[in-house]
Amino acid sequence: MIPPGEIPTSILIEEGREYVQSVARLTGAFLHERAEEVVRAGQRMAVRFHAGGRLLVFGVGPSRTDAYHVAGEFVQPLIQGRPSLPAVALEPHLRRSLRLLGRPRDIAMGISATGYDLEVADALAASRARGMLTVGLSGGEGGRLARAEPDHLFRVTPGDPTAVQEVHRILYHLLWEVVHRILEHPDLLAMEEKRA
Amino acid sequence: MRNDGPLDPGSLMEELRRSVLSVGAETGRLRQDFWAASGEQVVRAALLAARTFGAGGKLLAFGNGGSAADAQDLVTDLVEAPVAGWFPLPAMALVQDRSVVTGVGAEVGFRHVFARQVSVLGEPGDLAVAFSTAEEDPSVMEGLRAAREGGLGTVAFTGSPTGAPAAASFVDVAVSAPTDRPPRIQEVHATGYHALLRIVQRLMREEAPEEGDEGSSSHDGEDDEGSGGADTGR
Repeated sequence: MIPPGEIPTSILIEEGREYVQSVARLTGAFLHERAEEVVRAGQRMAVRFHAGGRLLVFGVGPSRTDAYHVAGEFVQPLIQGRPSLPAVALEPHLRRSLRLLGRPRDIAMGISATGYDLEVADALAASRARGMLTVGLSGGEGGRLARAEPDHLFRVTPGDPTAVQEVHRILYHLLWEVVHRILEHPDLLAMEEKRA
Repeated sequence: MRNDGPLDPGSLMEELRRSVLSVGAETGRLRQDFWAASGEQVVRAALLAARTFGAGGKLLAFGNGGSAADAQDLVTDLVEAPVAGWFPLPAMALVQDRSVVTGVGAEVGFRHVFARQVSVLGEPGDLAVAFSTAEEDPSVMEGLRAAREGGLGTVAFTGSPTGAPAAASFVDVAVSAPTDRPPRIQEVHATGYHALLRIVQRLMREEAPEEGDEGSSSHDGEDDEGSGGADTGR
């Protein structure tokens, strides 16, 4: 049905397989190392949601679409029966939007697959200064997000930007799952709120 | 995943930690299974895309919810070519214009939001790429149907291989995900279209040296020497 291209199909399949395997390795290693912090970050997010906070999420470059994805999944859960949680993706002018919309009890999540995005780093730093819970998802060589010193920083490295982006996606899906699991346990939340 | 048992914070946190670890382990298996079952389909989709671009066509992407973000991300990766050495390629996402999406949705019905755009923006020889995690997905189905009627090629990234979008007669290539958990399906889709992009870029590189760019329509990047292609459309 499809005329064969210049390159044999088997070579193209191998080219794809290499990439697919690299993503699997990167994800496996990352989650193995950071599983505990994923749970801790999700728990602190759950505490914020429980106390009436909302999630403000932003990304720049290829990570812009991840911000939409995150907001969409919190507001309209992928898994039926889970409650809708308040989340909004911020458009450009992040710092100004955060100043106008962010409240101390909210959560800021900044995403930058390259880790070089100054705007995301600035926005995270500003959110932290307001008392918001800050979560950074970064990757590659860029260390800009680290300078903002977010409460939780998940930096995926090494990896090309598309692979980093895939780990980010798995990561925010997991944070979403942890948040919902913990919200099912109000007693635990009350205990955490007292501690916080 | 519901846990109605007696509350023990320590054990809940430990249980969650273990489930994060198991997703990490599952990721590897899932990708291995995915590539074994669907790698060939991804290559077929990449060949369709490369032929489309080589003949001067463009790619139109769409999907709902998280899958709308996939459509946008695929288009961003094609147009902005974020990896060194990649050619910028012409593509548009049919989820970005709020006025169009809400306008068609409110006036005509949400199931027509993609079909309407496909019929006015698509041209014969273009390629429609849809993302869906659902068994039924009316707006995605209508979009794919309109694409076939307009002479476009059709690729569907789907969940179950037996769901409506995968089984539709008007889909040229269906790439399914070997899991029924929506978050995992979306994660596998990302791997699938990122692998597809690599194969497309490889094919465009192969075509690049001899050909001029008379056949291509919208390469506006610095890499125009890479845009030619001798293949005719479908």
